[in-house]
Amino acid sequence: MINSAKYKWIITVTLIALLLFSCLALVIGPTKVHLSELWQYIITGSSQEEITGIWQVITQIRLPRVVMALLAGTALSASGGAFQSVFRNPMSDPYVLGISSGASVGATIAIVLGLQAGLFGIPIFAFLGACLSLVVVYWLAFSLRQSEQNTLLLAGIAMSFMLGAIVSLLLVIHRDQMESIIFWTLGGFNAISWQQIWIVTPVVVLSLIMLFKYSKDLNLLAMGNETAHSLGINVKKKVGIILLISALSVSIVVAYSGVIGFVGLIVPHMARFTVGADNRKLLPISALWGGIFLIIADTLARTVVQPGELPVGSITALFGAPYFFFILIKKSKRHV
Amino acid sequence: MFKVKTELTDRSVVMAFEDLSFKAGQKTIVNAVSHELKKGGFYSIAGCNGSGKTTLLQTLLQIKKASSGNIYLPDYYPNSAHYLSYVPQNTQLEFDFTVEEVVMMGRYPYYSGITGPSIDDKQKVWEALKMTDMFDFRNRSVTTLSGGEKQRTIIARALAQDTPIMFLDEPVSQLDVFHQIEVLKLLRQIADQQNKTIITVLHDLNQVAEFTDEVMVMDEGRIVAYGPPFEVLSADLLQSVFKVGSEWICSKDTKPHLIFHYQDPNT
Repeated sequence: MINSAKYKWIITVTLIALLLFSCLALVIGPTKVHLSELWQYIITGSSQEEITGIWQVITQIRLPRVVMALLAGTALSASGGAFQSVFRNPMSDPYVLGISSGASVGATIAIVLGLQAGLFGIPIFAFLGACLSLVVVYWLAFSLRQSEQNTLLLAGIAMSFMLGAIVSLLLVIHRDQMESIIFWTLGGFNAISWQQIWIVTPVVVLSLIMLFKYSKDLNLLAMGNETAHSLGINVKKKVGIILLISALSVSIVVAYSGVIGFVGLIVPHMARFTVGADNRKLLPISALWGGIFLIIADTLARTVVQPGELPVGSITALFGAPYFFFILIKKSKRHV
Repeated sequence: MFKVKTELTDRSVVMAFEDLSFKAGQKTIVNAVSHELKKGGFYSIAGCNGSGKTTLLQTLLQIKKASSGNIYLPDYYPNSAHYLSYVPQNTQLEFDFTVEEVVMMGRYPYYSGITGPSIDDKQKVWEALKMTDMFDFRNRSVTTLSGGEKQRTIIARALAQDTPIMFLDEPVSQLDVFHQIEVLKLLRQIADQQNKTIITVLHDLNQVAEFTDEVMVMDEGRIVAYGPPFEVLSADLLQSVFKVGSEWICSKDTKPHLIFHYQDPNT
């Protein structure tokens, strides 16, 4: 679709945009920060009390949010792109295997049991819920001795419905906790600490490296299992590995930032529209754009209704959906 | 018990299979078939719908694991993607790959993701695009192609894979007459000039007779007849397998061709 010179140019612009939006996200917020003050602190290491306070806000509150938004965006978008290729279904998103509903059940149980506090409160329950759902979906699909991805997809959908019903049931029984459960479900980065970042980073980075490594295989899987097999791919093994590594990174992201919808579905489409379907080009762009998208969405989420905060998931859908419509219209015109 | 044995020592034989069966549940789809494929041979498989043609191809490619029997491959047998290529009946082309990107996939088994394709890989892709008349379409998205153009793209990908054996499942079924003949002439040329072995499922028995060296006629999972098409495709065989009357018509200027009686000739 595009030549390598144009691709390099897109990557460069994307990296500049990432840097720019990250800096903007650091300085925008209730505590006013001027870039000159920030620069002065970095250059001189000034110990003025006021600047030190600002520095604390930036490094302990805003920077972890930006880093987590970047990690979540890259993980969700790259996994979304990979899932779409593996399932050969443009409607697939990172949650198709029931990860989001599994995590939601886990988080809801943690909240209703009053175990939400601390580093390992909700996240560990959400992560276990996501993993448990994943294991059951895999077990169901493979016990049917079907290597077809459709079985996995259907098992994931059935699991999502079942777990969604459990969350609804828990919501009805524990109405007093309804607000915190719904707020968690919509996703956000409002209580992110560096400790959490250190847990999430290695999983996300490793899974991204693995996905980039498998991008040629993803191209072949997108052409159908028979084609992939005849071009030397062990389809069952590769599908299993790719889905597992993507699902683990999505699970850990969901555990710490809730279910942020839409980004994993639309960002790969936007990237595909620009750089084509070749996963070797698509996945890096998808990952970076996902990161930028969530950094912008999080900045909006915490600044639009100050001093309150909106769930990031609502921002991604609210601003992402119209842009997605625009892309679809443009694409259909191009094909005509 | 199914086994793949890499013990063919006769260099003129590229693949053989013996008592090969494939069962789906209780149903036997391919039933104890045996044959030998010669280097440079152009083989066709003919038979009614559901007679096991596609399953036989997929069992030979090991996309489907046979229930029993043996597949024999040469003792120098390399990576299967370097040895066998496949044009399936239906290839999913859901995503916006360009024609050239799809054809380049035929070269994936030959280069790593780090090094990228070599000049030789790119040359093979361009040759395949030219051979299939798809060169001018190389930068087009495959989602915008007609059925025939898509099929030619997939054939180009198999050509770029450059394997000693090519399996094709109804490669011309979606093409217009001109491109049907072009593709079959191209496959004939590949068999003759590059000494590659071609095995293709074909429904048009006149094309079977015109282009291929040997036909395997399948019925209910068995190979019921094989050999040179003009010898094998007798009126009796076609009546028993396809349930149609037929006769060979000869004229001075053309090879004999089959005509079918759509009504029972006895009535």
